[in-house]
Amino acid sequence: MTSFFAIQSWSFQDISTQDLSWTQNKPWKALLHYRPRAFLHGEASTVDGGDFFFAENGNVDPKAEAIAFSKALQENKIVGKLKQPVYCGFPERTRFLVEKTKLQLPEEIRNQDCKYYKTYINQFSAPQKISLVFSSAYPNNPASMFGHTLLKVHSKRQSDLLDVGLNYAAVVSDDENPFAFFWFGVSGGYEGRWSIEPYYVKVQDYINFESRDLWEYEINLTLDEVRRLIDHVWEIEANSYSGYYFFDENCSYQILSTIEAIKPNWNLLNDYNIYVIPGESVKFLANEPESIRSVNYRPSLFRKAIAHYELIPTDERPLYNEVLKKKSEVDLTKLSVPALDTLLIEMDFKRNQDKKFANQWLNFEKAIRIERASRGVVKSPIDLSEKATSPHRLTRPDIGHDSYSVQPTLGYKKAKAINTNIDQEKSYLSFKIKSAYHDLLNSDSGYSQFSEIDFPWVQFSVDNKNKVRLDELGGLQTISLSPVSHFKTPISFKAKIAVENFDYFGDQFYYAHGGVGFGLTTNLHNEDQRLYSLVTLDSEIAPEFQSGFRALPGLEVGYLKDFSNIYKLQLLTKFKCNVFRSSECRVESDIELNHSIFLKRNHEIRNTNSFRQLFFEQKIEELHFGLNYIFFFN
Amino acid sequence: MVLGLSVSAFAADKLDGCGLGWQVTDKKSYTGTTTRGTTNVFVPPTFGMTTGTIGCDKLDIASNDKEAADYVATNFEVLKTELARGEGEYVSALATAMGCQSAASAVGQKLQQNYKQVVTPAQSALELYNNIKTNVQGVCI
Repeated sequence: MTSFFAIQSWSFQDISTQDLSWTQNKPWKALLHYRPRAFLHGEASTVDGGDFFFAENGNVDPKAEAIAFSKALQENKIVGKLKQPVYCGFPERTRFLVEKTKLQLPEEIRNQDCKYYKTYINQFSAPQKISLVFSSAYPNNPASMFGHTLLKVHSKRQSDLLDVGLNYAAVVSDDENPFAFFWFGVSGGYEGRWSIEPYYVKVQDYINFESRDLWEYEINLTLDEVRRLIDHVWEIEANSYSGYYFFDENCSYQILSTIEAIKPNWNLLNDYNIYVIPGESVKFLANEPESIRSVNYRPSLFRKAIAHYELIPTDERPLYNEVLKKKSEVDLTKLSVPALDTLLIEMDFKRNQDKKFANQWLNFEKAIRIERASRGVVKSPIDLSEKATSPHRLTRPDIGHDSYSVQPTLGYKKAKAINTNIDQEKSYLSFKIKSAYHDLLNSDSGYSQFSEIDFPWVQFSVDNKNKVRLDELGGLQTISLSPVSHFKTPISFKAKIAVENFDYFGDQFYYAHGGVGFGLTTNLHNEDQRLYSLVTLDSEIAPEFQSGFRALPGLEVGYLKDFSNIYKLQLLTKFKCNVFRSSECRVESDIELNHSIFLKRNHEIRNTNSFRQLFFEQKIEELHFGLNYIFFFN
Repeated sequence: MVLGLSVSAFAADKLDGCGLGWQVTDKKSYTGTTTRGTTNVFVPPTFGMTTGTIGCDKLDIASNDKEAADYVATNFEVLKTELARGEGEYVSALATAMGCQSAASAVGQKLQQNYKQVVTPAQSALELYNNIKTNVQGVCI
């Protein structure tokens, strides 16, 4: 550390004598990461640890912080994880303070060797641009539809893979159990940290291992702003950390808040966010006028694999499959270039999925590569670009519907008690309010096709006698219908947890419903349709049920089709065994025809029609029609 | 935001200490997925102190070769596949890392023609890197 110098031309400057009203404005507070406090008055910083603040109450008093920072800067105080002078550890804050206060720093401070900072900056290779990168959902995993965001720093070299990824994430040990993970994740028990990796490492992680698409949004920043953002990430990470909260202070929150620190005139975050969904955070940035210069798409390995497989001539497919079985026993010179290219991708795919790859496939892969090399350079005709893909098959997050929805429904029910021959009719108006996210009949534009995750929601209704009632309180509903393909056979599944209302013939009560199902799906050689069947088990708990609960094993078969993102159709049949006195199975059934029309982003109309048979003290049949309007917002 | 447990499927590869090591693990994710990229288990212990290399320090590689050597090491398999095709994004990035971005297609073609000498015998990433470097002299300035 440098000693406190004594130079005639410089003396300590006390900025508290200046007009410090700028410390109450957004630009300074944004650099300190202030946000309104959830339950208290005023604001506080979301940065939690270590040496980020110099005033004792620096996390709530921006003026005190400016004064204390200025003092520490001039004293050349040693701070942070790397034990470096303030000047080296806080390059962006220093620049800002000097600009506002016209502080004169002595040469000794300005010329000191900030070796760690220099090493950090040199990793960026002349940074030119920064993109916000979004990774889409993992196949067969609706929860991953929420996605993840990171930053990519482009170098002058214009080589994507060699650019630098800046990632904010929670530090979690590899073997953390899922309950601890959820608990600590939600309550901020993990530290959130920034890290740097070459972008090719991120590509490996997302595209190859996880088969996720990457969407890159180039942010409209000047060269100077790019540099300042990189500096600002340094001053957070080299000195401190923030608690990682899965819902509201997660990767996407921190990225937007870091961008806002450099662009305080942009309003990317609301004052209060119950949660920040990564896919929706992309919209918050894109909605800021002139914030995005261009969008770049990088399809997943799985998409490439499917596209290559479809390029193999149909009459060559049997040979292709034979080669996979018999490997090098087959004469590889018989294979076309598309078939060889597909085999190579298939090997890549297997390598990322299969532990035993080395034993079974390594030598075969070598032979394929040698054969392919002998064929020369042949450009593939496959075009997986955004332009070539239909909008409803794109996982681009900013074109999709928003997260919250309100769904008014006009409905009509007619029920008949078979034994007593009594009819019951009613028409009603209901409202469903949902916070997130996407169901099977919504427009798939911007989402994984035929994938559902909803939580939580509430539905209440008003009947023709003006009686208001809570219909359903939903915890979670998820469905995944990933079709079997040449490359893998995913298990389709569904799960639901909710409190529902039973109302027939004078019996009215609430019951807890938990249901799961597992099975398989095929797309019948058309990406826009699904035919699936699931073995299901539903359990319903209420004191009104005989024995207090019902357990219903069953079977569900369904068909879905998307017509060019204009119209979607679903046909569904369910059969459940109402296990009566543990020996008799009384079959309950449900047949449905549901369809939606997509008017425009965030606006849909849906019609639902069902015929149900169930048993509660007697056999009941019910016809139900509904007409819903679905409106999304953020 | 993601729900669920971190896991990652890392591929089995020994790269003699140069480049990121990967191991396949048995663990599967639960309801959601996270990887090193989302709930990041791999946090460089001294952010900003690395020189951009990931493990090649021990080996005798000149400092201006480090980026390319690291790149070859981490992308070992996908690069071998693309070299068999003679072109592609990974081949172009290789040329860039070696300082000859404008000669990328010539580099790709030459390495594809000499595939059996350059790639096939290479047992390690370092060997592959050295073979490539020798082979592209004249094409890559």
